[in-house]
Amino acid sequence: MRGTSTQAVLAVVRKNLRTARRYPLGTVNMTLLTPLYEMALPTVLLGAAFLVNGQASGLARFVGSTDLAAWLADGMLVASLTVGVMFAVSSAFASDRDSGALEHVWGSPSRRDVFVLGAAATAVLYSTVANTLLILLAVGLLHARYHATALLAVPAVAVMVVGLVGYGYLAGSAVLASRRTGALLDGVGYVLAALSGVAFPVAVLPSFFQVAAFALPTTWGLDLLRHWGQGTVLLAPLPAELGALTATSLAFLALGRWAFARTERSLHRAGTIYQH
Amino acid sequence: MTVFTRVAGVVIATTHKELQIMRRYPVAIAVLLGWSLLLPAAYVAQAVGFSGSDPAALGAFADRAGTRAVTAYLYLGWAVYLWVSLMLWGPGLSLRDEQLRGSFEALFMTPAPRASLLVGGAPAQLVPAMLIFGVVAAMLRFAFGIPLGWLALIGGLAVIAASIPVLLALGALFAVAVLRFRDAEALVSISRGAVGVLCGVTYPIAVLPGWLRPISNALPPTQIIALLRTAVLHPSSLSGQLGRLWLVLGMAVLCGAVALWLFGRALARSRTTGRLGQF
Repeated sequence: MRGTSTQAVLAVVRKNLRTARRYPLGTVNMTLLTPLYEMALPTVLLGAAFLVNGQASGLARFVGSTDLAAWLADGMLVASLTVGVMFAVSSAFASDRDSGALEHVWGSPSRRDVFVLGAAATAVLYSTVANTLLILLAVGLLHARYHATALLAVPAVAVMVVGLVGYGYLAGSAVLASRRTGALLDGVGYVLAALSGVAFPVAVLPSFFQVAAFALPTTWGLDLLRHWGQGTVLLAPLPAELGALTATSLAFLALGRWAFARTERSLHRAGTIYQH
Repeated sequence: MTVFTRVAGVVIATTHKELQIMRRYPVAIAVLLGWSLLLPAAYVAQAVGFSGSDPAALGAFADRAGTRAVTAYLYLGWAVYLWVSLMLWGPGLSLRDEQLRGSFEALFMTPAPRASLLVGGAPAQLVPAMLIFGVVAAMLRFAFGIPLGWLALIGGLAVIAASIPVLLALGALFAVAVLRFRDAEALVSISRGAVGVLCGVTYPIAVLPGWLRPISNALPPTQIIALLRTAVLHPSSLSGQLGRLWLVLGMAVLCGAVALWLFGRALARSRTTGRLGQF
């Protein structure tokens, strides 16, 4: 049964990749160009305005690294994963509903989770490829530097992705329950990414927002990524940070699955799956 | 009835229709106002993080931007970005909506002057724009304690008024491009990227590579942002910006003339190809 679910997830990923191949310009624009000009470039240019002799001396006071380009490139990776997973899951359900295919998809023998996991896996794939290119650009053009220990962060990022799947379940649940949530979810994705410290150190946030930031797996995953990649100062001692990453990731996954199952039940009862 | 009164009649009717639609979807206005506060707040947090309260970093910013008022600098940049977004893409997207609804050809069958369709949707956008500027001014004054005197407010309003013609003209150019290429989403995406990256919304132009600065300076939004920042942050030196003001007005005449010419060509082409209503 588990093998069947894995095959179904892979089938969803293959379908998404086929669709993307049909619209190459749209795909490149959404996964690479939009994050580049809407977030990466304006942020890099603002950061450049504060450079002293080419060094981010102000940033170093918070994070212990003067390498602005590498610090931001890591942030862009986590922002892209966060927004990408939420957008992929919500838009998959929204477009299936708009085209009238959602009822047929729902009627298939696959578990509903398959569609969330398939969309999330596609988003992770796109974000990884697009951000590898961005990191290479940062290294080549902006002289970003990474330590070899950056590879240690791979398992931490994998655990963070588990939490991101929880974000995806929540986004899917919101779309199914409320129908017109596109603009709202865009805003929520942006806020979650911002709170995780993708473009500024979490320490600059007011204490109330810091508490919210510490409840997010993306905050801990990004902090570990930057620590092992550039030697930045950690927000908490390493064992505590690893524990926080695991706990928040599992908590978001559990919360997301619970919300999704609840929405699924309520749609069954109300019979409103096709409404939009 | 003169052409002017006919155009004015169409513009008034279209504005009335657009305002009715806006009133029907108040959440969209609330979301816009939310973005006008939230987006710059994220960049203010970035600026705090990048400066680290280091006097050298803050001094470097002041040297490049001409001011130490980082918060006001960012909020004003974003307010203009949203204002440009409304004026530039509003009319073009509205024409695209008519195409998708199938009512575009019907519009062309009316006796309204064709050119008025290009700018008819723009004046209504002044309402959300003024709300954005009002919210941003209140935020700067009451949340961040930045003093905004009468001179700064009057200067700011004067800059907004002076920028209306060039934004109308650019909006008309964008609308013609939508008619010609139909792919409105891609055009919005490209022009939004250009304004966000090239026009100094979040950063001083001085940090751009030398070869990009002339391109940036040739774009009207860059000049509007610079004028508004001067008017609000250094109101006494606004009189020294008359050259920039004339440049913006000159750009309005040029872009307006080009838009009308291209519109005529697009209409002639659609008559030959019969693709006016296609999407």
